[in-house]
Amino acid sequence: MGPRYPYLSQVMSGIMRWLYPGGTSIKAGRSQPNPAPTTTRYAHRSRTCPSVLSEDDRADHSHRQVGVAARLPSSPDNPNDLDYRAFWDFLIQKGQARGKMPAERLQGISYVVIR
Amino acid sequence: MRCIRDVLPTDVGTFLKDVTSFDNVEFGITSKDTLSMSSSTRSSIEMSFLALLDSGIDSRRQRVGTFCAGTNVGGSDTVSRYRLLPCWETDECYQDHLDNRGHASGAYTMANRVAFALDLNGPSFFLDTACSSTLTATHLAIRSIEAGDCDAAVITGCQHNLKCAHRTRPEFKFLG
Repeated sequence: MGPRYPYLSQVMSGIMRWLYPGGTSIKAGRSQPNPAPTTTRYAHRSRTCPSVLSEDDRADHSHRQVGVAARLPSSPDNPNDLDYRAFWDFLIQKGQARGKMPAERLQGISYVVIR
Repeated sequence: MRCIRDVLPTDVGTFLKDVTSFDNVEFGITSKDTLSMSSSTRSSIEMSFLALLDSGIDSRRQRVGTFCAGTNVGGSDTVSRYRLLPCWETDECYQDHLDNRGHASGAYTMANRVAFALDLNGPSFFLDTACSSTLTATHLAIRSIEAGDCDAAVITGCQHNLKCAHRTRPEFKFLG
């Protein structure tokens, strides 16, 4: 059995429980999904991570619904940012994403690096 | 005497790819508006869209609050100090931006832009409390929901350090 991927939503729910141990009176909005993305840029991310709620849970408005999206930088040799699963694997494998600062960010300044 | 900005604490880091790119057609935003938006605002719109999609709630034209935290780098006062976006690299483009900019580059518009692009009708609120911005935004959003101002809330936190100058501001250097 492979590693169990934590949903980012669960992380956010944990933060909410830490912030408000007594709970809040937050109720979710309506349970209809938003329309799907129309262009290709977001098509592969139509659901960024699996929901912690079943369809039955969604119909029950007493549940809190949390959605999370994030941009996660990757190493310089990777042309794309990390998606959520790749980020989890990256953490488990103790990956390294550091790289030299891109030249355009240093454009126009003279500098000395002190470590 | 050496200028303090000449000293960098490091020359390595982890960087987002294509950080300034944005699909304005997806959100019905004009190219001109997009050019004058900071990349932080663009990312906030994208990430808010994806987070709402992830949550599965019906947000269009609903009472969904927008609480955007962070520094709207490229907008507001920073625009005159740094030419941050690639489209402003040439003098002509930068001058055109200064002459014709709309409200898309103001720091205060960060949350407004997200709410407008995604049809969110709740309160729209930008704040910057430095390192605690997103947590403060989360707190305000929860209190806003509890007070009945909105049914749900989008909370974003975004700061892009596009140029080295952002990392080495003198005031932060003095803090160590």
